[in-house]
Amino acid sequence: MLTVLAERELTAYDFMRCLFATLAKNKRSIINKSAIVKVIYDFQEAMLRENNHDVISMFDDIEFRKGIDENVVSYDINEVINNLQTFGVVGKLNPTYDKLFIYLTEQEADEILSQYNQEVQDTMSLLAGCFAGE
Amino acid sequence: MDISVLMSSDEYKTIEADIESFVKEKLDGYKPSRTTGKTIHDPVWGSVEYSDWEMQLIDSPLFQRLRDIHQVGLAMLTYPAARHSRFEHSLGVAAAAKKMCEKISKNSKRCPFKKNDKNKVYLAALLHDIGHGFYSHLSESIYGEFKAFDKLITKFKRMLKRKPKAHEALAFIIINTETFRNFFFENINYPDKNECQGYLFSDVGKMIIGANIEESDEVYSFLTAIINGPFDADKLDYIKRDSHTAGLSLSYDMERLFTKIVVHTVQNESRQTEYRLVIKFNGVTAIEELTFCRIMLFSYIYYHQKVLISEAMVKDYVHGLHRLGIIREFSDFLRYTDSDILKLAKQQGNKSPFPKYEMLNLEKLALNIANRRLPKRCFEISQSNVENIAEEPKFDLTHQCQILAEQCKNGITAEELQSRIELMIFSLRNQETREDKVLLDSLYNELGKVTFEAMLALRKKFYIQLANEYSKAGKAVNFNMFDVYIIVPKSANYGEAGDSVILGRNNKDLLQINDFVKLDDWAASFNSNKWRGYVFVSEHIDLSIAFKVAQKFILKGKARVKKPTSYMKVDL
Repeated sequence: MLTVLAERELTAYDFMRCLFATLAKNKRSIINKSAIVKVIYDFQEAMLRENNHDVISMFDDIEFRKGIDENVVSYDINEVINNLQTFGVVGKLNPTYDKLFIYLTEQEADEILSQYNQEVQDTMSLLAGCFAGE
Repeated sequence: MDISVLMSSDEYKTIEADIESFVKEKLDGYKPSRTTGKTIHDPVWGSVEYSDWEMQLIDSPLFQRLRDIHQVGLAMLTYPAARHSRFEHSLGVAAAAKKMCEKISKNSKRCPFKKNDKNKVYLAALLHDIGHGFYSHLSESIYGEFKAFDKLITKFKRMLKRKPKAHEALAFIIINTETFRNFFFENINYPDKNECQGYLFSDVGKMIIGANIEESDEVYSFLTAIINGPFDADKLDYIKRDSHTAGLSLSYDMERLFTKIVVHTVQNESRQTEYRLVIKFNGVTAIEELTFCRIMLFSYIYYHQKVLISEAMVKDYVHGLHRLGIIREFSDFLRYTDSDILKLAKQQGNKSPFPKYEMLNLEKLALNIANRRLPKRCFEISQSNVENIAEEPKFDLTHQCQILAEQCKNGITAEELQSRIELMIFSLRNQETREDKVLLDSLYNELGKVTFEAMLALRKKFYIQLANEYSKAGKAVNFNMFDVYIIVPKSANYGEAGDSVILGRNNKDLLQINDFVKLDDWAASFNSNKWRGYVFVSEHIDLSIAFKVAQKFILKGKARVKKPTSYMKVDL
């Protein structure tokens, strides 16, 4: 008989909500939406170069499509951002404003982060640091 | 990446052996007799010509099986005329692919197709849905939750950098089985088949899962894009067909799209020459319309509340069949089609599919599905129909400034000052922008993205609370946990807006759809307004009691539903 999954591993939704919670915790409430996919992609590539398998497995539910030049697309990340927008975690102040606002308070961010293990939290802290220049 | 490494992995081999047995059953004894092509009339594409080899494939029992798989699953319970199958859709995708190939050749400066490329595209178009099981996407959401399949998809992702949908992975496996390849090369009059035996089906498989075909320093991404891309033949067909059969007036300017598609040559980052399918800048309106139609289809058909509840019932039913060993293997999802699946309940006897929980009578459930006796909605939640109850602590800027001024007087380090100011700005911004938004994320996290196993435990919990309320009201508890359904779907994805597929006015630069119109933002905003989560209960359950329990269970006292009677037939 085939075994059914009892629970999912880290999904793309988990990954992004955890990242946004970490950014909120670091008091980054506004981020450039157009930079998100590229920053996460570059981080993944760096982990691949380091052969960091534990971190690489956290990207299993996120697919990137590399286009020409620097353009990287991820339907998964876009989908999750749409969902997080629907569920009130992030939003845009107006449609033409490229910045994404993270609505989480520190307490809500803590609550989200507590649902993930230390390894995930540490990785998200590292990744959140990559948004410093954005 | 050499695809043979993936195909020789344990994860692949395990499932392949099972699928091979199914392909053997289906093709056993079939010898194509037809030697001529045929014209088939279709409501979407008109009269379409299919060649001899296409008809030989279409006539095969493996392909004919698609006649008994409804394209939109159980949507026919809501839209009675939406009874079209994967069979006519697959023919339609081939028709759309033919038209795209013809237009690409006409519109592009130099014909980008090499010898037999077009036939390869038609083959992929015909076979792109061959991996679908009963009720189409519904069955893949069930077998996609099996561990072995989850591992296979991860393998695809790690080795090919593509995460195919479950039915695409099964299609890839089916057409690459030895049985299918032998059948094809021995029996089908495919042109120049002896020249392409070594790579034909790995190429077709790649096109189906959305991976590019590469040859040394050249990438033929346009071939894949016709089958699995931002404006592929699949979408062109299902948008027209699904809306037509459902009776919805949705339309996009197909002719404009066809006159504007071209293959453009670019150098990619790895210095390979990529032949990419693009659309000229003045065809972008057709893409907007296409996206708009897709959003409407999701909203009207695929995420219709009655469609969602009937799908939830089938999930209970199929998981029940699996627990009883009536459905054992992945191949069973292909072996049984829509007209077979509801008949399998007869094999249940008096065995309980979920012994840890209450008895689920599969025969009764199958009858309810077939006769459209669906549970009723007792609770509906959306971003617009809930309001926070708990008063949010207000951030008092004046008071915070006074505290900071006091701290400055008493001495504070530069780092502490910076940190305090950052916190103040963050808190202020947050308060100003949150307005009356309700955080539904924890709801989705706890109830939406959970597996079937985890959902069973949640339904049991809900049932206990509902039974308690029933007892308090002096009513007899005449239901069990399988009379309760909690459905918190995710919203649909329209992520193609970031792809560089628009050819600029200079016929050189490639732009994203987002450079013209913020299509994904617009879609996300629409979704946020249209998204709904639900609790359904069987029709003999008191809806007003169920509503109160649902509100408490789902919103945990932090928020409440505004004017519930305007959304549901509850008597409060």
